[in-house]
Amino acid sequence: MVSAMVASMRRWGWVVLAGLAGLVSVGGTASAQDISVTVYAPGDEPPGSGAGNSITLSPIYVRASVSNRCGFADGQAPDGTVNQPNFDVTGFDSTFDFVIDCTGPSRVGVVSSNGGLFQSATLDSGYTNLAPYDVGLALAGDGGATATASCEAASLAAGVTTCTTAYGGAGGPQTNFTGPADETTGLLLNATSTTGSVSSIRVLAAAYAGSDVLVAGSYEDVLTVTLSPSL
Amino acid sequence: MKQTIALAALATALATATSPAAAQDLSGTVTINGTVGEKCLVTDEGDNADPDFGGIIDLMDLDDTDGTLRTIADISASGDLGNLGFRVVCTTANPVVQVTGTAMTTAGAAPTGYANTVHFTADANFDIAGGGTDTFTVTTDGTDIDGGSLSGRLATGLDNVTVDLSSFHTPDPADVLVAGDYTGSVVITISPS
Repeated sequence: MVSAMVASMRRWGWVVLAGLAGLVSVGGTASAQDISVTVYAPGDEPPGSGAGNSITLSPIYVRASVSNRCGFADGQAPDGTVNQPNFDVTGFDSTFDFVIDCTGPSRVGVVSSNGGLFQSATLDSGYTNLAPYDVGLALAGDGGATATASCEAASLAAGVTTCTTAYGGAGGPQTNFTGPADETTGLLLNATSTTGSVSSIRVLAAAYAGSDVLVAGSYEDVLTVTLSPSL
Repeated sequence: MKQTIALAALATALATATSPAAAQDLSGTVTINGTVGEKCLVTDEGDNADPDFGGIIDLMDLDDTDGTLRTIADISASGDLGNLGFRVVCTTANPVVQVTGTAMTTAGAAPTGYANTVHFTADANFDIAGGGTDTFTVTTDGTDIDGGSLSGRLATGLDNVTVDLSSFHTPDPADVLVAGDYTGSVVITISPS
């Protein structure tokens, strides 16, 4: 569309410049409407044609671009909260859906703020204030494309590049996807995602069975899920 | 007129192409909250693989050849961890314990000069994380209930709660024990706090 208009402008540019020149000659307060006045009658030789006194307009190129679109679909970012009393006895298993809206391949990264469920507490030997759990990503793109991975929260702490699971994982192979996501970091969904395919993040823990005793109290972890276009 | 339209259209196109695209969310947050309740657990680790919190000490025959209570040696938990050693952990910092001792008795009547009761002393020992042991002592013919808050978390090592029995005696050393089955107990209650 733009190129067509540029071509049109190139075709009619001499008319505009000629119009401007005419305006200058009669005064500087002309209205915009004056620009459209045709000052060359049909059959006149256009400027630059070599006929008569004329000027030659260098082409004016108009350039623009539209970057690849990539983000979570409007209102469908992975947001939510799990509240599980006595998680050390009951465990938990929750899934949060989200939709990727990217016109190219994308990557999703997750950062665990605590590397597990954590509370600040004074500890003695044999006790702990950090409980493990697993995190699974299941990404879905166009044409049935998928990507899955699962690591425990400790593997998703900032800077960690390994991947282990605490309870056998939450779906998918043990592939690290510690964020923040960028063009080369995070779980790769090697496909476009423009049709609303539903991806998900799952958090899972069985009843706690660690050798150290979890001290009583309120535990928390925050997972930050980030999305980036991929190279 | 045609030029005007073309320019207007071009201006619109340029404006569209150069306007910033609507921002897309690039991050989301999932929060996981959970609690660990205040509780105490008897585990199956330790020398006693049975997670039951209890045991049976069979003293066999109590009477000596003259019918009085025979000399019963002190019984240390270290000699019978299966019945007197346990592993208990609590999720709280200062568990509260209570120890109650009940003398060994039998149903038969005991007129003067006879006894149907054998008293004893029980020490309940609680190993504390970081070192040290809190001990509560009960005597069945004296202070038969004792307890309080532990000075710290229970140690998580093996057999962190042990019971020692000692000072077996009848109300009068000259008493003759009446025949029967004698049963007494030591009850230990550990509560999170």
